[in-house]
Amino acid sequence: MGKQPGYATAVFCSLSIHGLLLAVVIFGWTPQFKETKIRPRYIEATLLQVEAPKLPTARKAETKPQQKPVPLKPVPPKPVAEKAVEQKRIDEKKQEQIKHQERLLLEQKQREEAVRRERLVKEQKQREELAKKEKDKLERLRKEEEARRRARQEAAERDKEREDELAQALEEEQAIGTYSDYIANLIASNWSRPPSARLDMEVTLSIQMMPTGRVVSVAIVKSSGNDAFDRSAEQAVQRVARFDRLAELSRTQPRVFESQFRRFKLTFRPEDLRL
Amino acid sequence: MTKGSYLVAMVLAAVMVCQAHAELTIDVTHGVDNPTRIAVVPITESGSQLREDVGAIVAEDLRRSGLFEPMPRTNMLSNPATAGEVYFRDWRIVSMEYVVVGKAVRQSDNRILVTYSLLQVPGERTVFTEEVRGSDSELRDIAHHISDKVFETVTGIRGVFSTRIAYITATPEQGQLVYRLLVSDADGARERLMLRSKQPIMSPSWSPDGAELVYVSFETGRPAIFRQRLVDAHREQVTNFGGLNGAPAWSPDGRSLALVLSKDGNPEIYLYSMAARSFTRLTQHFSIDTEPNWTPDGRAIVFTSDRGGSPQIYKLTIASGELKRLTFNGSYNARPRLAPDGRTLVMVHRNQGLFHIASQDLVTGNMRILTSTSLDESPSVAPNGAMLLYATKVGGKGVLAAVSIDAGVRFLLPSRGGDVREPSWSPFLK
Amino acid sequence: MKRSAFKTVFLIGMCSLFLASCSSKPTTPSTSGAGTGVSNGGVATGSLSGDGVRGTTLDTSGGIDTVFYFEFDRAVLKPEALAALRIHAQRLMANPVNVRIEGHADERGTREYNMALGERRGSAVKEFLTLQGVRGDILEVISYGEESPAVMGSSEGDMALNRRVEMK
Repeated sequence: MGKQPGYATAVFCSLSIHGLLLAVVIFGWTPQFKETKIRPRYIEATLLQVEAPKLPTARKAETKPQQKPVPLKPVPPKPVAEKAVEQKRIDEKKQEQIKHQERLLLEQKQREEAVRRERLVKEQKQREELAKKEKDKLERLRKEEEARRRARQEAAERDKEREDELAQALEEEQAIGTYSDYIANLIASNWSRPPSARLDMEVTLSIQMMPTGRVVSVAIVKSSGNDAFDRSAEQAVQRVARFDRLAELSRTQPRVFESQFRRFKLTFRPEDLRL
Repeated sequence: MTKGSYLVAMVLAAVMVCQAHAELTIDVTHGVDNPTRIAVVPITESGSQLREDVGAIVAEDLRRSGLFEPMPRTNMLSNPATAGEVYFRDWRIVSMEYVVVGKAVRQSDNRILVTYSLLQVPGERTVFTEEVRGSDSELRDIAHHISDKVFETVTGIRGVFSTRIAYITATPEQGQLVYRLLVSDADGARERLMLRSKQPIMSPSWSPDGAELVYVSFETGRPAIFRQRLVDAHREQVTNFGGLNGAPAWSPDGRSLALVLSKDGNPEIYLYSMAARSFTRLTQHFSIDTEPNWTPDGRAIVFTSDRGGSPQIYKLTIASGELKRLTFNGSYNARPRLAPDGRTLVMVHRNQGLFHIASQDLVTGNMRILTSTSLDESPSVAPNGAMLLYATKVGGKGVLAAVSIDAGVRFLLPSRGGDVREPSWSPFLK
Repeated sequence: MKRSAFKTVFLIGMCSLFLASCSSKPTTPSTSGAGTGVSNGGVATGSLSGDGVRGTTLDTSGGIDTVFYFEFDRAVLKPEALAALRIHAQRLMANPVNVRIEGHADERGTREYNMALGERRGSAVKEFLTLQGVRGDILEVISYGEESPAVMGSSEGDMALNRRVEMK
């Protein structure tokens, strides 16, 4: 009585541990199969994010234009002369300089714009490419899966066909099994082993039969090394002398008789001895 | 696709059939172990009886082994004397497996020539034919030789029909017990007296060449060990110590005896060297150590000791002194004897107050009780390891019995006057 | 000591051997073919020195017990044996004569193991007597195991009578 609670907890513990184990086995195993399939996709996905960090190159492009104007800034304005011509020239020069500067600025802006546009195009292209790659991948997987399914289906169909084709062979196999058992049992009940027989002894005889079920010949194919043991096996076959049910087989399934029982081997290997 | 698989299926089926055709092997893993049915046709000297009925002795030998079921003569349809005269159909009808035929011819030197054959009935062939010669007084030897040869051919085990047994009898004569040491053929015939005494005789044991016996005799007023040759009865006293002088066991190499002396206070096992006439003590324990027996390789002895509180069997390796307890089943296991395979140990085992002969497989440790009577003792294993002799009581009288080592066959040996005890099976003799 | 004892016994043995060889008819085995070794073996029929050695001087006057009984598989003296053994001890101390203490067992158990058991019983008696002061060298323990039963038969009563020590 007092034992019962302990017993119950023990049973509960054991059951839950077993349940857990079962869960682990079930959920620990099947995902493993899925993972192996899906994993490449995850890898691709992360790669997508990693590839975007072509950013370092983009950042370089940005810093370049910033660096360029810097050398322009330190150009010092030339000191103004008293002469008008000089002044004019200076003015003209100034104007030219301004214009030049403006042009430079414009050129720079245009260049920056071009670079930005180029970058955007590039990024867009990259994105498109990756998307396409992803799409291709999925498509390929789908195709593969489908191919597999088709293969399986075909295999099943083939098996079915083969089953049909082998039905007769199996039936023959069954007949072989039945008649082999019949022979083994009949010989066992006529096999009187000598006391020197041991568990590790084995003798193989070759038997030749008539369609009447009568034994035509008995020959030792592989001796056990113990003459008395070999002779006891021979005696067993000779004592049976006639296997009546083989006569019946040779009438009903002559092909089986001819191919299997016209000539067969008997291996005597005692398993019911003490030593 | 479908065409391809069809083809594959066809090829596969063909291969299977081909393989099966070449390989069909039927396994036979069981059998029956009935006694072999054999007919031993009377062996005569062109129709007239010999001094001994050789055929009857052979049939009886084979029957007693428990492995043969000889056919009664009255059921025989014919009495062929040679292999050529055998009509196998006569023997197949009565389901014989083997037939022994033979004939005796007296030669010019008055010796008898026996020509005999063993024939296999279902295979309808002669297994072998042999000639044996001997005098009239050796007809029993000829018969036992035939039994040995037939037994070995059919069973694959050497026959023990030509061996001997030694035993002790105690017979009341004029109100006093008279003890005798006797030797007979394995079938109990041709009993020969070795020693007669008004004092107890016990523990006979054979030398490995079968030419001598060693035993304990009280003829000096106390137990002493003697050895005695069979051929000329030459005797020699081996021990004369105070206390116990007992349980002699000849070593397999014939050079020493294991025996028990209590000269140092309690029974201990000693080794007696024949050549040096010296004693070496093997056991050192205040308990009883007795009944030594050698392992077939002569390297160790098994013996009885009550050092654990009850008599149990131990093994002592002589060179290393390593000691190992062998029996753990029950509270009385004593007088160990090892079969020639060194694997089967036979002993006296007490079970529910009754003493039986038991065997123990030293590899698996499995113990089997072989006998069902109540005061069974002195087991002695035949040199082929297939049977053992033991002593038991029937109607209050000691008799000898035999049992096959797998307990399949048990029989009593022909009873003689008085109490028969302590059988000891000889080694193979040649 | 032992050597001279051995000599006497050996002489007895030789005598019996002489008798034995006189009465034996060793037939040389004429073996061939199946003929195995010994045909008629040795036959020794010497009636060996009869009844053995007996101490006949033990004082048994007054009908004092000389046989003491034991429990199965035991070598412990029963209380009723002690009184008689004390008297034996006194007489043997006063008049030391050689005494044979013969130990016996019932038929249960193996023969050589019973030899050891018989010796244990004899030794128990010897030990008691020596503790009383009797000289150890006049007491000889000889075990007969189950070889020399007092009574034939396998009943409990029969076997109880056979589990004994006899002083002679």
